[in-house]
Amino acid sequence: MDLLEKNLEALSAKNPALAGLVRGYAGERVTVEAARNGLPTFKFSGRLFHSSYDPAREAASLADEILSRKPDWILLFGLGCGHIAKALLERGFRNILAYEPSMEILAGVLAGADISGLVPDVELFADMDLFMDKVRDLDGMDDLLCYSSNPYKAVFPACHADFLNRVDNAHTTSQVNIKTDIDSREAWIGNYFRNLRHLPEHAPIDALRGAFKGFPLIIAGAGPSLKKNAHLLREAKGKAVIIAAITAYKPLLGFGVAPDFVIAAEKVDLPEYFAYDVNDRETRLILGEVSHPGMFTRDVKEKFVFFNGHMALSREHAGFFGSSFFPSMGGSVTTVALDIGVMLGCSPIMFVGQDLCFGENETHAKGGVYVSQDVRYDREKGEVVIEEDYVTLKEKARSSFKLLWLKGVDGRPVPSKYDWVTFHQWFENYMRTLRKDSPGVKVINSTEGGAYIEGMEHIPLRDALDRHLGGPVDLDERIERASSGRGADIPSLLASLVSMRNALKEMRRSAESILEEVRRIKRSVGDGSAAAEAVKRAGRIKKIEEVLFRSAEKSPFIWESLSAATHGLKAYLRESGADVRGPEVMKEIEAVSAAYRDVAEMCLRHIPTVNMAAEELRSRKSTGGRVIEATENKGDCRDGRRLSGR
Amino acid sequence: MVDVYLDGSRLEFEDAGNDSTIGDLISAVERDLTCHRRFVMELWVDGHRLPEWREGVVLSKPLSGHSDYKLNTASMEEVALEGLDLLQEYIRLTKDNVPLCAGALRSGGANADAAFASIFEGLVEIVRTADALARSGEKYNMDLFTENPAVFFGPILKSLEDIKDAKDAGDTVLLADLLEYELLPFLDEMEEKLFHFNA
Repeated sequence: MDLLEKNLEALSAKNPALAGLVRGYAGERVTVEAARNGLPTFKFSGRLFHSSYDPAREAASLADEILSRKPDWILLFGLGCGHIAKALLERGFRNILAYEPSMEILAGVLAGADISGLVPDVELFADMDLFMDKVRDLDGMDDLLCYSSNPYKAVFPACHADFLNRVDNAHTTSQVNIKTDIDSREAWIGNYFRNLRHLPEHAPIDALRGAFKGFPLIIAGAGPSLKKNAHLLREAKGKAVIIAAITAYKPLLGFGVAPDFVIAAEKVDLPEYFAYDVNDRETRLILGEVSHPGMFTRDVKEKFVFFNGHMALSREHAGFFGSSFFPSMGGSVTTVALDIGVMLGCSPIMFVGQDLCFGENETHAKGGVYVSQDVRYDREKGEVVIEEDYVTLKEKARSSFKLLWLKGVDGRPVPSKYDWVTFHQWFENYMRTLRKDSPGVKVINSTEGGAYIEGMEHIPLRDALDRHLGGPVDLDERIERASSGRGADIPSLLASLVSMRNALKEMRRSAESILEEVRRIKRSVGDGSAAAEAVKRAGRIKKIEEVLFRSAEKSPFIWESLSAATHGLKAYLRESGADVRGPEVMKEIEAVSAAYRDVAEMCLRHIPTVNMAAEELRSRKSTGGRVIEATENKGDCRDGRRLSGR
Repeated sequence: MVDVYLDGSRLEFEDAGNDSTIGDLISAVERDLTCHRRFVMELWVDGHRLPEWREGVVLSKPLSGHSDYKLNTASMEEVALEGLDLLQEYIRLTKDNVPLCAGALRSGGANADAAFASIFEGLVEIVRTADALARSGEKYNMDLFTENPAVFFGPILKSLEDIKDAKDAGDTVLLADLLEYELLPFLDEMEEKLFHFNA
């Protein structure tokens, strides 16, 4: 078997798609030559990529230097003949991802150097998008180190810069997700339980599934460039569905455009985003089930609900509301709107005001909630400082963010920040999936400025409207027809809540018992009789834990609500390292103790909330055929009826 | 009227036209010293040692500007030994800079350019000092080297050309290879073969 076949066979086992790509590659290949010590090296673009004397020695010193920085992951820009990766593996480091920017190099190396031993341990990519997908999957708490040897940096400068920027952005996304999880999960769960009394009154958004097949959709974000073309949306009214992010609602009204839907999912109440006039009463809200309960009290024409697939509670309950649609979401309501648009059957889907970057001196289009804004860049510090006058605040608010960069629609970098970068990552990822899964859906970015979004067509709104707007359609009639006659399965919902409440009570008892055992272990550690006593108590804790976990299995949301504590424990373990001994045992005990204290407190917090939600549902009267009542005891329908059509 | 001392002894020096320069004084003294195989090594003016006294700025100054001149001399052998020490130091420093520079070139370290400039300057000084010593040795019939250093000049120049080509091409890996696997062994060899004994 020749080298190429040997390498491809090894690669096929790990990454068959890449192996297939190399097999089908018919272009130029670098010529691998033997260095003075017999190891492989090559020249590309007139430069040596590894030492022509001793590539292993060269790689060894680089590996030592890289590892001295103690990363959790090493992301290699350029695998070459694999000398550095091999040196890292020889030093016991396993978390290596490698992106090879040149097929000419990759194909040549696979034909001329034996890297079959590396392939099982080093994840190799030749597609930067796939590489970034993998980076996004890495733990946001991990330290990533990008490394590239000098020749790769010199020969592929633009690609290298793009690589670094995208890794930075992808990792920022992971960190943002963790932060969002920590900051919001508890509030989302609280909101969800409080919203349970509202949810049966509103149809899920997938009641409209396919209702707008082939009909244009315009999604309006509140980016600064909205001012350039928002006025054109007046002529789209009735000829396209218009969904506005809640931040874009009032700015659009300022241009004389009343959107058909306004979408919101914030965990906090946003009364200041509404007009409190006839416009509100002519638009419909699309609300996340975890939105602040105040949002469900707004006086609008109609409300639809979407459920969040990342929430165990929602996954468990959505079916009771007749929903089986969990929109893909990237942190912003416009990302949700895109997936909703695809579900509605819309095409093309056009974006406006989706800048994902700073404007000249503002973050959002005027006419919304910012009375004034001042954006200042400190390029040396890599920081952006925003000072703004918010409509409900007495004093100006000041915030600063790490300055990040995205490729602009004109090809030049545009300044951005972590949340927009996260959305941008999501959009590009979504577009790749959409191209594969639904190639017929056209997505147009008619934001006239801002960031370029790979996978979308970029044309001015004027051109997009001229090409795609047809005749007017009675949207109200379509919506009414599609959403009428839907209802919620209250009996099943109640049964689920009762089961959750019981599980919470059981968990709380278990957590309290574990805490008591931990207290006794602490005492025994204190008086020096630790070993025998601790082993006995640890055995008891293990048994109680098993009971606790069995209770928790009935309601997976419980673990989600502990996400902050989980991340806290993880951060603690990272700091203390794996080898904890002696006095550190007390710290360990403290960590365990804190974790179960969180469990007990969380149970205590949620039991009354779940009770209240159940009480409210139980006391409901049937309204307009949407709701079926049930008794708690039986856990099924009082009248024996079940809703059909789910 | 100026006072001139040579190695601590007062010297009669007449500045007849009152327009002599420090350079004139040094030249006159060195003319007398040559037959004794000695050279002026230090110049003190009005109690201050002038480290850069061989420079034109000092040598062209009028003698009458100061009142007290002290000149210290050294023998040809002492000068040669000092030169040999200097040459060995240049070689040692240049060798020390090679791994630093190669490492920085390979890792993309910011100090690569500075280390490279030191190596380049070191090589130039090695050639210049060895050449001056070889000429002086020949002139004063001193056996300073075990081999004529000129035999190393050709390979050094060739090495400099290769290094420059690699640098111009931006081939940092080749440049590091040349420094570490060509230049360094060559400097080792030069150090070993050139001197009667190594410091």
